[in-house]
Amino acid sequence: MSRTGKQGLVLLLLVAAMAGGFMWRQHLAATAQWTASELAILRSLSLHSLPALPAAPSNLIADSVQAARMGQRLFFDKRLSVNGAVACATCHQPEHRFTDGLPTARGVGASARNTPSLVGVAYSPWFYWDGRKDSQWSQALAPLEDPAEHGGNRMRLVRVLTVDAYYREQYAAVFGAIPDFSDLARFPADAGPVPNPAWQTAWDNMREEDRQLVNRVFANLGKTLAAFQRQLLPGAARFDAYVDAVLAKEAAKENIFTSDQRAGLRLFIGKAHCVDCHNGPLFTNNEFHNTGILPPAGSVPDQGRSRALAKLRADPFNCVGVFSDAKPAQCIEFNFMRSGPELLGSMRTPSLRNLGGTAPYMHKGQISTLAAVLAHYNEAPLALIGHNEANPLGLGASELRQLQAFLLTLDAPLATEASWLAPPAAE
Amino acid sequence: MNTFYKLFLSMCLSLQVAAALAHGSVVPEGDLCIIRIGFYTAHFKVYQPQASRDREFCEDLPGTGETVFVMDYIHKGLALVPIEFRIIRDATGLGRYAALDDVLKLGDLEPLTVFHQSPVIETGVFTVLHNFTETGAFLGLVSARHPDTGEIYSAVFPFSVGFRGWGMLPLFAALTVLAQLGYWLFTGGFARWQAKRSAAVAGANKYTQILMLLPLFLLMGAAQAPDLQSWTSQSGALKISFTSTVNPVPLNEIHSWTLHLTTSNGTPVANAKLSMSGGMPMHNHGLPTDPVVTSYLGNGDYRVEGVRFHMQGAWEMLVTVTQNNASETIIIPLTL
Ligand SMILES: [Cu+2]
Repeated sequence: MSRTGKQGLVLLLLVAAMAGGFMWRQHLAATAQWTASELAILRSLSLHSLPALPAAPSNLIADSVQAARMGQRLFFDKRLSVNGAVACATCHQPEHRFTDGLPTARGVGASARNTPSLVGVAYSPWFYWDGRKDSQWSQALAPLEDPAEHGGNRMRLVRVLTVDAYYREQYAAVFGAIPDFSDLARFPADAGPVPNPAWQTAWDNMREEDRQLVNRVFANLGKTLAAFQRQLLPGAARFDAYVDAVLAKEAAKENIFTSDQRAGLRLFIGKAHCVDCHNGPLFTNNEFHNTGILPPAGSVPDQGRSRALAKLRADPFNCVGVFSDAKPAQCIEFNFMRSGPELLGSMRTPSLRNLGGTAPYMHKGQISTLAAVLAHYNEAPLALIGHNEANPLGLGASELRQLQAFLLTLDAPLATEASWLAPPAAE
Repeated sequence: MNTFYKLFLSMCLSLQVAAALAHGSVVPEGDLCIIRIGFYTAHFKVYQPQASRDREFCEDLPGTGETVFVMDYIHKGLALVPIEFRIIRDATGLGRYAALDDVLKLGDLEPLTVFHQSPVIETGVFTVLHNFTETGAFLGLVSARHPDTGEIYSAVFPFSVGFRGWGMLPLFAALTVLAQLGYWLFTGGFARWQAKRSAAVAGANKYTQILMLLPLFLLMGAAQAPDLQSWTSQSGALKISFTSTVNPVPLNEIHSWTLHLTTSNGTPVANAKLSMSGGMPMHNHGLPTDPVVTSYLGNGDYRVEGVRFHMQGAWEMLVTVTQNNASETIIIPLTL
């Protein structure tokens, strides 16, 4: 062999050895044993750590199956809209994990924010992206009267319950006989405290006790919708099966995660700090954080939680209001909620379960792909208002790919029985 | 020679000051732009998020398009007063030298107005959006009405859309740097720098020694068990321990604590005024709730309601004890 040939061979071997060493290191990093503290985090993220549904003291019928079935029918009922074309399920579509695949919701008109999933939402103390509602039943009322969503008014909505025989019967069984709204002089066709001047005037002209009668039925309508939504719970995903295998020390079954997914999980609970906010079995702390998401074209930065506090305190359907079934002392989250500049521009952390099926992302659907979401957190730009709580991560392209591979292991069909996921059969 | 450089330096400086003052009511302070509306002040920031994402401008904007104006209140009074915001085409011909008086002379502003936000109270931060369709010189007008006197305070800030380059500014900057370097060399700066440098190396060694001890301190901190332990106030006079209604202290679950307050020799302290806050020092944020000390239970025990933690990691709870008009703070470290 010639001298240059030998030199070439040595060089080649050297390169091969280095490449081999690098790959081996990568392999070790991906398959390395989980430490005790990492195992504790994995266990805390597993669905096995999900406790029973939290009590809903403001809604006495929250766990009534009969109320939930009535709520289910209402959820799919388009008569609960001004044009007869919009139901809750129009935006919260069961086949899309109760989202709509759009950047911002479209009901009767164009809504300002992205449709969040409803799966596992019953565990949150706050509802909406900005937490301007403190119960699921109170939240359910707002879209019905929002001009961009169902566009209705509460007088017309509660009348649906009195004219439909099924609703009238079910209402009586759950809450007692529904009031008689047939006197059009006392109860006009359309009335409610909404941005429509004619409906608002009609509402203002009603007697106070009649308005309260309507409000009570309206609140109960929301309580049945909440009872239904409490049924929507996440199912075990590939991630949960992996954690089961790791905790049971079943080495063979650990192969259900690729080395990329394992490496991504390691980043998720470590270097990438995702688990700081996306913690617990639902991958959310249900708290409010500013992460420097840019506003979409045509809008100023969303002030988020800091704007919601006043609305929440003034809401007649909040936990301490007369339509709540809770004693004021039971409204712990409401009583001890924080305010202050930290909340400026903050939004509620969404669950990451079913992330792959719930694009586009963020409160206004600003970011259309998971890769772009990860790029955003890797960069952590300055917030236009308030302060971005996240710091730049400095992750490489392969690490971002691994994170994404892991995040896609959180998709799974709901744990909820199929009979809940479609309009109920006709009576 | 020295005199010459001093003269030249002060000349450059005064030119720069003039340039700084020429932003109307918006004045750069360090990295920030400050707007003064009478006695009210706010951080003034301008963004073109669609074109340049989170890049912050103080006044001159690179191009047309969607523009977000943000005022972060420094004077908290701004959160309580109606603020009016108007953008007009600059018809004063004065550009960056336009002042409030010049605007008043323009008379009716409506024909010149390209954007108007009628007075509105914004409690958190003031933001407006305008889509500039043409380049040119503009004037921003911000007014705030004093809630008691009814007096209206106004600010004017001239700015251009489609910024036409830096003009003579880089030249001034270069000349200033050169002049300062010259002055420094002429006054024996190089020799001083050499002397300082050898002193600094000696000083740095001390810091390195302290830094090397840091892991030890951290270990000492970590070795402390979180439960069944008491912590002492700065003065050493008070000791505190806590128990939680949920054990171990839970994540994402609101619960209550009982604080047990004693003197240094273990005598329970009754009827002190306590308050508790907390946060994650490493993350620079507070608690997700506002806990309240709701009752005294006897035997130095105080009930705190509304405690919740929303992240794992290192927390610090701050208990402030007030007795006889004197306050002391006790820090309870806690790792979740
Ligand atoms: Cu934190």
